[in-house]
Amino acid sequence: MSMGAVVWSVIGGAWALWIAVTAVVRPLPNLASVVRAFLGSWAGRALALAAWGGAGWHLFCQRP
Amino acid sequence: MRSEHTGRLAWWGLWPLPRLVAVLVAAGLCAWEGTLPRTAAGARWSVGATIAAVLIIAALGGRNRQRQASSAWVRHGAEALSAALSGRPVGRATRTTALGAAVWVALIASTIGWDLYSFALQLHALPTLSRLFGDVTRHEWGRGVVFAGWLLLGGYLALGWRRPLWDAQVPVRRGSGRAAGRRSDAGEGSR
Repeated sequence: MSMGAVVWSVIGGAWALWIAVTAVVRPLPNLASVVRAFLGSWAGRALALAAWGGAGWHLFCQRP
Repeated sequence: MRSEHTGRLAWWGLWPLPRLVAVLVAAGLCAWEGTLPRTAAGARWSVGATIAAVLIIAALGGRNRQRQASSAWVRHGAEALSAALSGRPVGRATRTTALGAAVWVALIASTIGWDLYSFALQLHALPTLSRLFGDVTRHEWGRGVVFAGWLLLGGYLALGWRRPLWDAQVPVRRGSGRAAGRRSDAGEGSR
């Protein structure tokens, strides 16, 4: 296993663990509340949609 | 369409038949997209048209339905970021939410930071996030499934977390926290 794969595994595990913790512990902001924090206004929604569009273009039209 | 218990409009606001047609069209688009190589003109046209369509839907479906004015969102965002970075309560954030936000900021920063580091070095042993996704999307099924997830996310970003349609006649006051009050009025069902 390469070093990059190990680091990505650790980062992915941390994401999964934190998503699970915030889903159980109510006072902590969870994934849905983080996404909704961006969707509360036009500025945040535009930012999120720009990131979404850029990621899609890169993923489906530029990456193998 | 109103919920029996709350009287709120469904988030999508479409009748069942148009919704069914939309789902079938989206499923067909995902299946077709899965067959396309990234270099095909059809891939560029379909992804570009999807992005344009989602942006148009977001603009048309969101008129007077944002929960906050952008100026208030920027102010509250700065407070939340300040609370996250300091780990202390700032503005409306409590100590618990500040610590939770700090972990989110650390996770997002570490993901972006490691991706940029891997991209800068361009080593085979240090794959970028898009290369990991590329290992999935080079398969026909993988490209279709990832495209479906991307499409669902775009739909939510365009239409999700709006004020209900029946509440859309009153514009949000500039710089006001009207959204917070409305959110508590609307409860979970409007999400």
